[in-house]
Amino acid sequence: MTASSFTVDASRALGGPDWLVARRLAAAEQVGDIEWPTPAEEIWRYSPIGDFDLERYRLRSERDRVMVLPEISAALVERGVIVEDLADVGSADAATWFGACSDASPDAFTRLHDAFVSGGAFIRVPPGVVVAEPIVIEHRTSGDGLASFPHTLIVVGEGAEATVIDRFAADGVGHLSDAVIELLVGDGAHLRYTSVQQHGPGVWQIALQRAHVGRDASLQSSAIALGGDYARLRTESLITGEGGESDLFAVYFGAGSQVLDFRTLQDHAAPRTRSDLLFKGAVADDARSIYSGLIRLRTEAPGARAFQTNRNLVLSEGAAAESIPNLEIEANDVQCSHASTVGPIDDDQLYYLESRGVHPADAEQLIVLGFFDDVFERLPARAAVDSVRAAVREKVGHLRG
Amino acid sequence: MAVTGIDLGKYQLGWSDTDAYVYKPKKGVNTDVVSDISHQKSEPEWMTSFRLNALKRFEAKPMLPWFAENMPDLDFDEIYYYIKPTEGVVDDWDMLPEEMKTTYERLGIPEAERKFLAGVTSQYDSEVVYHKNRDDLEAQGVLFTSMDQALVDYPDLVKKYFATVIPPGDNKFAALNSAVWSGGSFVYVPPGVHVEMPLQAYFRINTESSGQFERTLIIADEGASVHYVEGCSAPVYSKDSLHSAVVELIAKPGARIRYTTIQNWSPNVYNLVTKRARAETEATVEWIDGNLGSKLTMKYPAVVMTGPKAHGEVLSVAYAGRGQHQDAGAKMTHAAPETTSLIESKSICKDGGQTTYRGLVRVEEGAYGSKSHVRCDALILDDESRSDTYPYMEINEKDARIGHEATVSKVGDDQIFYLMSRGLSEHQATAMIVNGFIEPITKTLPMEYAVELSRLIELNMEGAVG
Repeated sequence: MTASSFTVDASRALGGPDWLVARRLAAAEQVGDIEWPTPAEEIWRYSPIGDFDLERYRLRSERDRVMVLPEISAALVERGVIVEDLADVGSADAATWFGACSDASPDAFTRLHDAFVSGGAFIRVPPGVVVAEPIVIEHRTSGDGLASFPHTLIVVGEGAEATVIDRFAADGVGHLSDAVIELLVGDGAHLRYTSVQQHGPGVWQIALQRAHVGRDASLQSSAIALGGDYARLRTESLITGEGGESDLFAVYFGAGSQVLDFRTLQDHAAPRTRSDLLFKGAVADDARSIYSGLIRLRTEAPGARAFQTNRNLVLSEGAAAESIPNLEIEANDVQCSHASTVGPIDDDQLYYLESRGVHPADAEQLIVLGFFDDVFERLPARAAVDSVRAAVREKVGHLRG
Repeated sequence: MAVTGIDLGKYQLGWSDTDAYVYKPKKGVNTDVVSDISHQKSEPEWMTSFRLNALKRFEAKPMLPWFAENMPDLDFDEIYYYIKPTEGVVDDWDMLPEEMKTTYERLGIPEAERKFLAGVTSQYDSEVVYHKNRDDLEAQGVLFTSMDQALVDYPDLVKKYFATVIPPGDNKFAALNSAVWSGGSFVYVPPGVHVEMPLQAYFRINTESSGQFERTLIIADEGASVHYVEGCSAPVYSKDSLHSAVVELIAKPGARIRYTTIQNWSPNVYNLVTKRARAETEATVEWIDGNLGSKLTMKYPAVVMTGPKAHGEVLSVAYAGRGQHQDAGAKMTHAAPETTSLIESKSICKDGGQTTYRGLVRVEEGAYGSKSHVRCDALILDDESRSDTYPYMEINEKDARIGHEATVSKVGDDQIFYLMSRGLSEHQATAMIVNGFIEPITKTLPMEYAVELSRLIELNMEGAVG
């Protein structure tokens, strides 16, 4: 092999707190053994993963990583709320939680991530504390041919509440963003989490978002995916406590030759749990979208209710959408359903708008925006909704009628 | 409500006849066995080389992981690939060996033939032993015979269409069938002819550790229509048998083929079947598929719509009891404009049985105006059983409308309570709800089959409660 950028020495050089360095080095020693996936594997089916070659990337130096975290009020600091860069967290607190979710669902890219992650956002809301204002995080990276490893770790303690908006923007020709997002929602806690992905056109994103949801807790997660050349997001939600709830939403819009790839898991491991999923996407030009989701109702989940809906609009001749909503049901006292559709814009709707004098191109944009609206309506933070809607509108605005 | 106290050791068709075979080679499959089968049948040269070529493909093809996972115990070397039960085909039940005749009578085939069938073919292990058509079939120019006989009588037709829908390299089991195939039906319906009564084939495996590899080819010429019905059963043995058929349907422009299967194999049969149809312009193909028996069924009837406005349909009902896995589904390929398809699947599992729906709807670029609707409903009757749904949709055309819905549920306590409050027993109530659940499928069957299917389901449900 030629001089790879992804060596144990390179991992060691990234520095940071001792617990992070130790964990990273252990992972870095295994990097040579990683078997890179192929599209023959079911979970990578339809993806362009066959084109992946780690040696095309170089490791980004610590200096290029830009993460913007908000200042939190003194009152919250006093109550024990932490919003910090993982690289600065020396306490054992972060060490306890780091990897709790991603270690439960590893793949080649989480292993690579573990070997080279140099920091990330750490949000800790102690038990019983309610953070009313949304916490906004921004991960920005850039550089041609570089690989970056953004990480978000959110721990919401028992009975606590938080709202987080997490923005990801990478840029550069042949840039790889290998991200991990861990959401730990304690018993009786409530987390509203929105990720917005606006990568540049040359970027590959391969990300895992995994949540563990406790007893009587709730997670409401939304993903807005707009950018990237190939952007993959695995969204997993494991409900571990009785009465836990998980709602997963997403809006995605692909144009040009983008490939947007979503793999979801609603995993019920406790009685009387509920999950819902609504992923809505549109593809234009030669873009492709892949939705492959699984509801797993384990035997330990009697009385579970789980629903899954994927809707796709195909806007042009060259575009394509794959949709695979799967169910694995091992319990019998359950309610479970899924639905999925793929189709063009409804002619009647177009006709209606055009007959009222709306230009065909504008009518198409209005219908696409309207199609996404029921997900926008469910986004937790109004402030975020407006900027997200504006970003989608801008992208849809490039549509040719 | 938990459904308890179940005894499913009640497969009703599980007797066996003493085997007095005319020819039975060694177990296993290799060049010698394949050449020998071809030689026994005095086949033309092209078929012998077709078989040998297919054997090479079978040996070269790896077992797909999702297949292998379902059949860790299947041993290709432990199977008899060709068993010849009688010297030839007869057209009078009385000419069959006594025991064999009694078997068919107990299965009710001669009676059904008298009542409502246009033609019957009965296969016993590897060969067709009985075949008879009603006289009017021939007058209409309809050809209905065993596949082996067709190779002798209509070599040109067979050569023209054989393996054109399912080539030997299609999958490992299609390759195996292509190498060792024996028996099955050949049907040709001339242009414009409507065969009013169904044609029937009945497949019986009798020997332990045997394989049945029938090969069926049905061609409905322009504007013709035909309904073909097949039934299957086997004795209960401790060793596994393998049934691996290949069924090819060709519906020419404007033609209509309905293919109904009621599969009630004994719980030691691996049922791994490849079924595919080509539907040309404005043709319709319907697969109606009832999977009640077998240890493991893996079967995904397919329709490839190659002409504009063609229509494909799969209606299926599956029941999995103790030790059973029904992994069934459908595959629709929209390869021409304005084609439509419908998949409706109903499954029931009980006593630790497992049902799987696995399906694919694929719309090729250029198949504009295509529509497909998929609906899967699963009923889980106790907490030992399991149901999975894996529907794939690959849409490469903008102007196509595809929808999929699925539900999984149990029999509702309120439904049971309602019926019991009107005087039904718990068992009657459950059976009634289950029959109501599969009604969309049973209503498409000829009446006799609908009654039979309901009866089989009820039988399997027996002892389910109280």
